[in-house]
Amino acid sequence: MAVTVSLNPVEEALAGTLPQGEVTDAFRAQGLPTRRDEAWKWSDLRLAAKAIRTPSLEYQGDLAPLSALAALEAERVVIANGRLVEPGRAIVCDRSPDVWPVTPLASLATVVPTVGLTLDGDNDTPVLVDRLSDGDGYHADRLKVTLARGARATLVEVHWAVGASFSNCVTEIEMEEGASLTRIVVQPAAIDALTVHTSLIRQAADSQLNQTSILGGAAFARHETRTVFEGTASAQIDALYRLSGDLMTDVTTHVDHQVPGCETSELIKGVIDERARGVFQGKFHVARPAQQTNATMAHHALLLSDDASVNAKPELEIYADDVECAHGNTAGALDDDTLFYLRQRGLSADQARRLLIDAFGAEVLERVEDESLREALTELYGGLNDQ
Amino acid sequence: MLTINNLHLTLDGIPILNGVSLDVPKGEVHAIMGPNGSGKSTLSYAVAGRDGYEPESGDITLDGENLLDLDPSERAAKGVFLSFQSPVAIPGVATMNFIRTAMNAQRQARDEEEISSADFLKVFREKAKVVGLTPEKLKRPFNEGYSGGEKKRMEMLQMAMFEPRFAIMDETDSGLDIDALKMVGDVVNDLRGPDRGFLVITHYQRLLDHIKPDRVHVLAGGRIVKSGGPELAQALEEGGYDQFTEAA
Repeated sequence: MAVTVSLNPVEEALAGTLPQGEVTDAFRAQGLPTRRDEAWKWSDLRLAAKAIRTPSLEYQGDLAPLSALAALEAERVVIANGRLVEPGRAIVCDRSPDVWPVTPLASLATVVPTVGLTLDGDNDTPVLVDRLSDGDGYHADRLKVTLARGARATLVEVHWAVGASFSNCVTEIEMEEGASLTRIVVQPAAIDALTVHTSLIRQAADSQLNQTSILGGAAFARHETRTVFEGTASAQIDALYRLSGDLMTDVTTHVDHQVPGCETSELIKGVIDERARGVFQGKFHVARPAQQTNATMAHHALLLSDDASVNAKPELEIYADDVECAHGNTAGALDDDTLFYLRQRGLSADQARRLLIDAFGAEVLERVEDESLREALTELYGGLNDQ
Repeated sequence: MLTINNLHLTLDGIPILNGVSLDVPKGEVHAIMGPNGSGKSTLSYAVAGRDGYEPESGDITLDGENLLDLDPSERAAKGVFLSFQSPVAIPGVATMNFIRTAMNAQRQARDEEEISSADFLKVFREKAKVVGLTPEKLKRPFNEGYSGGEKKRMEMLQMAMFEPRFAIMDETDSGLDIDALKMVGDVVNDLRGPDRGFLVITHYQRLLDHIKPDRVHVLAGGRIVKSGGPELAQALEEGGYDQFTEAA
């Protein structure tokens, strides 16, 4: 492959950690994504990844799970600095690297061994995959989750980073016919860390995905979910982000409706304080055969300071003529009338503000059906920026 | 009780209140009537302490204590209650939780013990019945999907629960049917007592048929232009505001 860009020292160092092969060639041809790449225009990774990074050393930090999730009594899989340190029911599989031009970072993560999880039957116990990061190096992991025909499961993926590491993760999810997955992605605030998490999901007929992400942002965080409907199925892809300081998060979704009758519902809400920055990019692609698609996308941002900002790009690309697709996008401040009302009733300015921030997030949290899961996520949302 | 002395207030450079003076003694109900834009709601916001409604000059005291130094929640804890003309809906906030949180915030500020769940529930159910809000309605987020009249019932429910020392009712009667007007009268008359005061802001005589005021004031052009007994409300109903506004 022809070299088209000259890599900067950070990119050279990263390329040096990769094995020879197509993935490395592709990376050398492109470098890290920048604002010149349409899909990354508000999330310039090359700009954010300023420091030269060597491969992450062995993880030295705390291995305990987030206390808010302890009540779930989940089966745990721990990946620390890219290494599988507590396999639980996961197994390491030998798969060859993949080059996915649309998701260049996900491609980079395919050079490491795959952590495989197969879920079948009815699983009452959630599976918790903790991705722990410390130090200031670079590491990647590749997780492949297969839900067998008719399986029902809850998968919770946590990104917990201390220090200035750069973690690059890919989760591939294969949902066979009639499978049902409740998927939670959690990232508590990480002040100096960089995280790119790409999720690639394929859904067979009658499968149902209910995904909720609770995100506290990082120095750079991108959570990209790409779903393809290969049979008539449904997906709910929600996220709630809460940012403060100089943190940012990018929530990018792409849903590909290839067959008739699929249902997609997306509700993304964000609370942005101080100098923090939110990015939302949502795209529904509805192919010509995908008649009777029913898809809604909503993104609402609450800006708590004059320096807070949000960039949002909802996109509908529809080739079928008998579909119901809608999107809504708003950004606003807390309502003065409501704040005064609450204070008149006896709440301090701070209590009133907190009540309204909690209420703003409640709409997303209420969509989580399982009560213990909803309670855990509510607690996490309340404490996202407490770090 | 509530004493307002020579209150001047300007909003966006426009003088709204031009020297309002008013004294509502303990145990009394006073009514303020006046045409649209005469400054009635501004006066209620100034007493409750809304940001941006700080007077340029004048005093507002409750039992001799200066309210202007206090923020809205502190005034609420001192017993100032405002029944809003247009109450807000708050999606995502459970009604009962909110009222209990507010009640306990006031109690905490007064160094009183929090109300127990059981006691709260008992009073809440009882008062909800009085104001005519069904358990189904009350399960909704605060005021969500409520009609104008139901929102006013919610204001009365909170007034009945909080038992404020001094209540300002800003056009509580607007949008209410005859039965609801009677309910408002019942709530006020039930609370009425030697240590409480009320300021009832209204356009119409009809609410005053249910809440007999001790005094009636006409607010026009940002000042009180006429004060009198309950018969003044009757005179306004018959002769309109013009007879007084020309003097303003």
